[in-house]
Amino acid sequence: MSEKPMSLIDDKKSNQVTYSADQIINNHEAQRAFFEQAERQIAPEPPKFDLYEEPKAFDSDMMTEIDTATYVAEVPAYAKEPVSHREILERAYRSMDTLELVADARMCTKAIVVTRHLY
Amino acid sequence: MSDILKKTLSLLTGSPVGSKRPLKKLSERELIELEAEIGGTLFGQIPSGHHREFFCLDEHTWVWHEEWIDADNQRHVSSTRYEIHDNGILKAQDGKVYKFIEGDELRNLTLAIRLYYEAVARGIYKRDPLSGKLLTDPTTATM
Repeated sequence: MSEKPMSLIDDKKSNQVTYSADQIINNHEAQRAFFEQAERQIAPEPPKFDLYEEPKAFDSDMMTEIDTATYVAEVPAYAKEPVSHREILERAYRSMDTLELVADARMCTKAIVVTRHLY
Repeated sequence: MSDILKKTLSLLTGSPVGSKRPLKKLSERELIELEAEIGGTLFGQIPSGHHREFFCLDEHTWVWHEEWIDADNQRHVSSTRYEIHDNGILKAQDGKVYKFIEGDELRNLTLAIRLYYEAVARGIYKRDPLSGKLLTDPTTATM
């Protein structure tokens, strides 16, 4: 049987004890310690909470009601109505510079000529 | 080619001899005429008494053609040619200086070109503008 030490973690980076296979099989103490160690790795300890921390005072200002009328008014007009394909293109073209617009026009023109010849 | 052969070929194909698409029912010119009708509608309602055409002539040229009769019964014709170059789109109008268009005019023309392509691809050629596939193809994407 192999005597190679068994551990689930890198021993060089921790102070955890390693156990040989024989030790784990034959020694109940080593067996228990091995499995406890493995369990800690699988389920790390939960973070500690300070149970005695004073709760924060309730701040009523944080609970302002949503002014529905204002909220609706802040929604841009285009978001309230269905947007046409043309409008989507118009917005896209607004953010393009001259060379990008020319490139798009060129691409569409070429596509038209190719489509025409395919007919 | 002899005249008789030309006539025979023209009768068989329905297109004049020398056409780029001799085996098709419609010539390229006829297709452009169909496209021009769609193109004329892209800029909103056409004023009463006006006739407007907007079409792609070839890979580099677009034409806007408008005819109307004024209150004095005078006929007016206006033709504008747009040439697509690497660095911009050149506008050429009757009797006016050539100039590269920019700003809203360039944006509006590019939008019109895009809408024209989508409209003619679907309306005339029955193709999906995004994929180029025939609309009868079940795998065709929609835009």
